[in-house]
Amino acid sequence: MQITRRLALAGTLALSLTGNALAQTQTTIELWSFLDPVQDNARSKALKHVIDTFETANPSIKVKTSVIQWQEISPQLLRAARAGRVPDVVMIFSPQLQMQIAAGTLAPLDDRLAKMPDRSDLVVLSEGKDRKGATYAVPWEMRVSGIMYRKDLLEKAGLPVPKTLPELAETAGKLGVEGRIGFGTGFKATNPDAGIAWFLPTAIGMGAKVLKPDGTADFASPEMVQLAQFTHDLVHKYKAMTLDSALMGDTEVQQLAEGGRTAFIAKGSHRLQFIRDKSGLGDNVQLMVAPTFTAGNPAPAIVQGWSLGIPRASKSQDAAWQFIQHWTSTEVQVFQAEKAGYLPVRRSAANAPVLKDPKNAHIGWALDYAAQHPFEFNWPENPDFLYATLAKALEQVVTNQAPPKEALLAAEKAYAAGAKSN
Amino acid sequence: MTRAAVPTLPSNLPLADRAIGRGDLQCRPQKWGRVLLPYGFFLPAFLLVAAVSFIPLGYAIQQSFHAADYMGMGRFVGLQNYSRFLGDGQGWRNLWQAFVFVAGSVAIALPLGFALACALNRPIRFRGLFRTILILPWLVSNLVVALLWAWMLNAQFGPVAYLVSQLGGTLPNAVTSPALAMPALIIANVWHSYPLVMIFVLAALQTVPAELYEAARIDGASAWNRFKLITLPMVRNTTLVVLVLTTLHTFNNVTMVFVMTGGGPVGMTETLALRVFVEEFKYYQTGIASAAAVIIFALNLLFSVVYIRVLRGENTAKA
Amino acid sequence: MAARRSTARISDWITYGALVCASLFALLPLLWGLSTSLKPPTEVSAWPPTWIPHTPTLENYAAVLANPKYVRYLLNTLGVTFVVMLLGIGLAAHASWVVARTRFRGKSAMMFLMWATVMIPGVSIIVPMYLLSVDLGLYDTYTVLVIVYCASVVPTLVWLLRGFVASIPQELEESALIDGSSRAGVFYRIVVPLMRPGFGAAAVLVFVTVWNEFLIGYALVLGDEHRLIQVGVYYFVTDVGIEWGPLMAGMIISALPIVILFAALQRYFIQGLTGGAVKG
Repeated sequence: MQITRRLALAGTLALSLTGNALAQTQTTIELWSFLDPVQDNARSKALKHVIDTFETANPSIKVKTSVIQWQEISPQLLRAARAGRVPDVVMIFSPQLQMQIAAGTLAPLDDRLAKMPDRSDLVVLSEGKDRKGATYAVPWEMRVSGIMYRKDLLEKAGLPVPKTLPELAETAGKLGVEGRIGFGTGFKATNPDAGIAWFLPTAIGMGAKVLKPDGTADFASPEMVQLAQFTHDLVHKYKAMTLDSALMGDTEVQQLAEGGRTAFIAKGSHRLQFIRDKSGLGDNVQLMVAPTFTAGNPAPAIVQGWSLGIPRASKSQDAAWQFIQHWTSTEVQVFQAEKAGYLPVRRSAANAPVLKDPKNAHIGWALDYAAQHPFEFNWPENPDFLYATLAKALEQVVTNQAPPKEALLAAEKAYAAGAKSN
Repeated sequence: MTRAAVPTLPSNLPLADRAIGRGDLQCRPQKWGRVLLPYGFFLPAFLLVAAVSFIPLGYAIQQSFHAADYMGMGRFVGLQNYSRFLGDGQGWRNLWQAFVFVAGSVAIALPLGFALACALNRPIRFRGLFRTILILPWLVSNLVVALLWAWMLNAQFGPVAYLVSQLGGTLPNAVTSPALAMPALIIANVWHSYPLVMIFVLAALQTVPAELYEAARIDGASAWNRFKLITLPMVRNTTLVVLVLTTLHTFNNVTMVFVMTGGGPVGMTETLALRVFVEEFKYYQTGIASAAAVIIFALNLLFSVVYIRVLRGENTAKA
Repeated sequence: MAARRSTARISDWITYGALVCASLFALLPLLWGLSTSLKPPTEVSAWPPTWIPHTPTLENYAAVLANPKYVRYLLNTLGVTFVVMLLGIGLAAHASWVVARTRFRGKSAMMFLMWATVMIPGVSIIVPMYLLSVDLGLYDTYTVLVIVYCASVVPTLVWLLRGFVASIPQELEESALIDGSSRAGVFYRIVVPLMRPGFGAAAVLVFVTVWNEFLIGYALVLGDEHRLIQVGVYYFVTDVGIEWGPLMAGMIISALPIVILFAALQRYFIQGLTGGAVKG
């Protein structure tokens, strides 16, 4: 007993000594990531490349990755900040940033950004800023919302690429045969990203406000009622979706697309390469702008991106910033875009020759779409709640439990009640 | 849910007291020396359990009367969280879904487990093998049950969908179909819950002396009468115990519902327990979540009290 | 006589038929999972689905085990479960003995309170538990997991083990006392060895509870250092969907320890329940 205790003591001492000695030369920064760098897929390998090249360039800094499920990072950061056990760099999806900024979990980056030589080259999303304009996070990738379609199916049926919502509905209705879903999107309230990421910009493209300037709900506007009715008709009139598919979540819809079992799917640029590879359909899968009822007036493109922030309580903020700078450098951005199909967050990277390859045509397409039809929206602090509230209303509409106006009015009330307590 | 994986046996407190209480009468504490030893042996367990359970419970009750979100607890709002939870109809729907989930699961799992226990109590071959196979689903976690059944019932790749298509039908995706989501959930839960019923009833059946049956048979009692007059009374209490256990497991189960259907579609499977979880962990509506949490606790308590009453009644009636 | 024998035979056939059907119901989802885990990705999404893989492969298992994090989750869970087993059974054994054998002031009130905790649904108290663990500096530690799991199994174990103590003839303890043994000595030397089958049953209960628990492991752990296996399995659900092959392999690996332990202790478990705990 005595001996073991003494041994343990000696061990602890030895450990703490080496720990101190190392600390002078070595810094380890912890990264919270939803991607696991050791896995064998394009995105994981790209992340591994980012870390490896960073560690080679900065031998005194090691990056330790904690893998956290994509939808858990934001809530875990809130809890971690409360417990004072934060990582040094955290990956947050841009819609979740407003909540983090309001909760004060992230450190402002303006001073650091100001010292960046090529500052204007780097994209900063509005969701990464607070109301006064201070920046708290920079994206390491971007995605632009849109609609994917099957070029081969359209050609076989001799149909043009639809330019308006009714055209989309009719075309999707015609192609939604042989076990295929015409228009793949779903409004499952706990996983509504695909459905609402289509509904929201389309409604705004039609002139709806969705939220009033003071942040309260404005759901029952004529435009939103019309679009909700259209969503209902997609299922019941055009047969462009089955009722079951309309109630699916984002991931289930995507799995259908991977199986080649959708003609259109409401999915942005970030999944193009993934679905092309998984389905084996290659460039028969193409992206198009999301239409509204008027030809030539597409819905604005939502630009979102997984972003990097430095938690306020991080002890290695300088090293963390070095890592962020590396990740958002032109070189790394070009590599990522080429290998994993990400949209680069640097203007200089978008012009790199390798990205002009036809295989990467979607990159230019997406950046143009976003530039021409920017999405102006005052994101709420808790977008998940907005998404879920809208999704619940649309679930009721497509299942005929409530007419559009009634469902949207009820959603308005639910949203007000939920927001009030915050 | 956390306690749901094990048989939460202690709920049959009066039963156990009656069965085991004789120790109290026979021992002579004064002869056993120091008075302190019982406390020394009992208090560590008691204090641990009490601290880990009652302090958070008190906090939850307190929180349910305050505005709260991810930033922390806010001002006192009285009963506002409760009125919000029950006011818009959704809370009542959650209760109803929970009821359907519980009633459906118990109505299948209980007779199934009971029947299998009776079958396993017969002198047949491969009894041990059958017993082991039939217990297996209980060893699997709620999470795995949900994923396994979602995969079994997957409309694109699953064997059940294929079977249905061979029979000329099409199976919609069970977890997103308003008509099938709750039945799918119930089947998965039955699969997970019947073994516990089976083990408990089997254990009780094995305490019934075989001579009783032999005697009854000699007296010319029919199989049905033997079951009604010997088996049923001997296992009635155990059956009530597992009835309550299964009910509580199902009522408080978050993991299975969350992973399998997430409460959808159209809130068709959003049970009360799931609502607490979703409001808290997904939408950060901490106030409303804690009000719902207190309501769940109250219902658990109510249910257990009713059940203890029923058992007491049974016992006095017998005595 | 012949009539009776034929009715017996018919009811035997019914019994076998029912047991075989029920066994299929119990086994098919597990076999479907096993089959999926042995398929390459193309076959996982093949239509019609196959029960027996055409090209069986262990690549899914290799992929899961090649991930050092998954192995870590398994070891974390094994460690936590083991400590909860020792500590929980230890605490419960002491408590159950004095509960079964002695009277002391406040006993019934404390027993009632202890058992009332079983009525507290986990989801009701999980958030306060998180807040408290943060305040106490225990958030995201093995310690908090051990404490909470212990507290959640101890009432059950006390109930179970009390049945065991009661089934031990009290004369043994009394004669040891007369021989001059101390009361604590009686417990450790006489009672503990006799409770061994009860410990077997208790071990199964602890293992099944802790190993399979999801919510506490989800809410009280941050990052992946202390992550437990159920949350690890859940993480096969990714932003691009579920990879069923590796998921099923991961599930089977995660379930193996429990099946092995159960196979080893099954006898005690059944005996444990019949021995004293469940008296109809």
